[in-house]
Amino acid sequence: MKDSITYRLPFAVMLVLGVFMMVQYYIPASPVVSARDMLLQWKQPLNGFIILLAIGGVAAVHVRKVWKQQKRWGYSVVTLVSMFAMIAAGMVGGMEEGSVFSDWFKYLISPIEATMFSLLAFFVASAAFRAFRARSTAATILLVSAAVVMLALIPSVANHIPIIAQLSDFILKYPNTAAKRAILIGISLGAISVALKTIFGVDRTLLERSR
Amino acid sequence: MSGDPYVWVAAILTLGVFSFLYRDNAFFCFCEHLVVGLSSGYMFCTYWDGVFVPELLAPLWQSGTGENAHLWVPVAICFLWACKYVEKTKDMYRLALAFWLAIDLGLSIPTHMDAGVLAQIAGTLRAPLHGSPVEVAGHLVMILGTSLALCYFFFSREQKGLFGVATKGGTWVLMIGFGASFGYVILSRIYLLIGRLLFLLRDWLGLVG
Repeated sequence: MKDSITYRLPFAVMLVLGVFMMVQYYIPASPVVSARDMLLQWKQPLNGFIILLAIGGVAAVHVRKVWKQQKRWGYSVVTLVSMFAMIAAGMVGGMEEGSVFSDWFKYLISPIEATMFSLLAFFVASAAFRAFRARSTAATILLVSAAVVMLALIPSVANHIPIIAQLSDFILKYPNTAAKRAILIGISLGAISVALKTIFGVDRTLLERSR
Repeated sequence: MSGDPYVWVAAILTLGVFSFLYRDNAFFCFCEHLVVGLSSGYMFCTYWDGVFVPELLAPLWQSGTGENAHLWVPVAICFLWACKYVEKTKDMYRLALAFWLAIDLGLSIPTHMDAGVLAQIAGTLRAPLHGSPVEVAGHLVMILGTSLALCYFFFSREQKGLFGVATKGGTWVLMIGFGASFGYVILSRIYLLIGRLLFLLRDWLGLVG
């Protein structure tokens, strides 16, 4: 019996709360709105707690690596020291502009992340070289569309050949919007179907017991 | 050349990440692990200070037995979530997961329907068919393009005959969209690269004005 409750209760919670959150959108009555606000107020700290647990998980993985002196454990020391130093800087020195915490974000995190993303320029350019080959009608359309948009974003080209800028503007405003709308409609219908299947217990994979 | 030690550190780390272009090396791994640690610490502080304390701990501290007593419920749910890490109680975690998922999924259904489906259909169908010839042609392209691209996503019917022609047109519309997005991605990465090179040459070395 106990086993049956622990197994079924999550599905019941999912059904009741899921249906409530779904229908409350269409019922603007005050008790419904306050119930919804309370549920959202309960969920907010849970979001924070999950992130904090995840960070604890990262720390635990690296502590284990250092403890067992696994391969490349020295880098785990770098991760742990920098993590706790950043936490100490934020908790002790505050997080406002001009603090050590804010300076470390500006001069340590930002340059590394920006450079990581800028590295992608080389890999994206190499991928583009392979993708932009006019082997079929669809590939040719992709090539022309990307070339026009890229050329229009270069100021000297856009200034000297205004038709490129106009064509890019047309592509971005109309066919690009059409493609994005169709994709968004598809994604939304897919998300709704997945949500309904999960709420009504048709798809049980998320709440199934871990073996 | 800059005299600011922070600029020097930022420049050395930038070179460390760029060293990956040669091959995976110790300098790059150091930068990689450093940013993982710093970012985790940054996230911890922002979530602690921006979410956990103001949404839960501070209200409970102020009136945990009075008007904010209901906030003991999320505390209990947090405990249920933490049960995941204890072998004997790990099933209890599913209850917290159900709560978390139910709210997100339940709320996502009307919002997706409203903003992702109905608003998009309305925006397409309400495209004004007046104005300059380019605008009229553009709006027609948008109505036709959205319909054709939607046909491509309809997999319950074999894509042949007239429907096959429509899905082929849909593929072309999608290719225009992907091409435009890809072009934007390439240029945005190149702008970032120019930004980093400018930082090295201007802010650090002072070689360019």
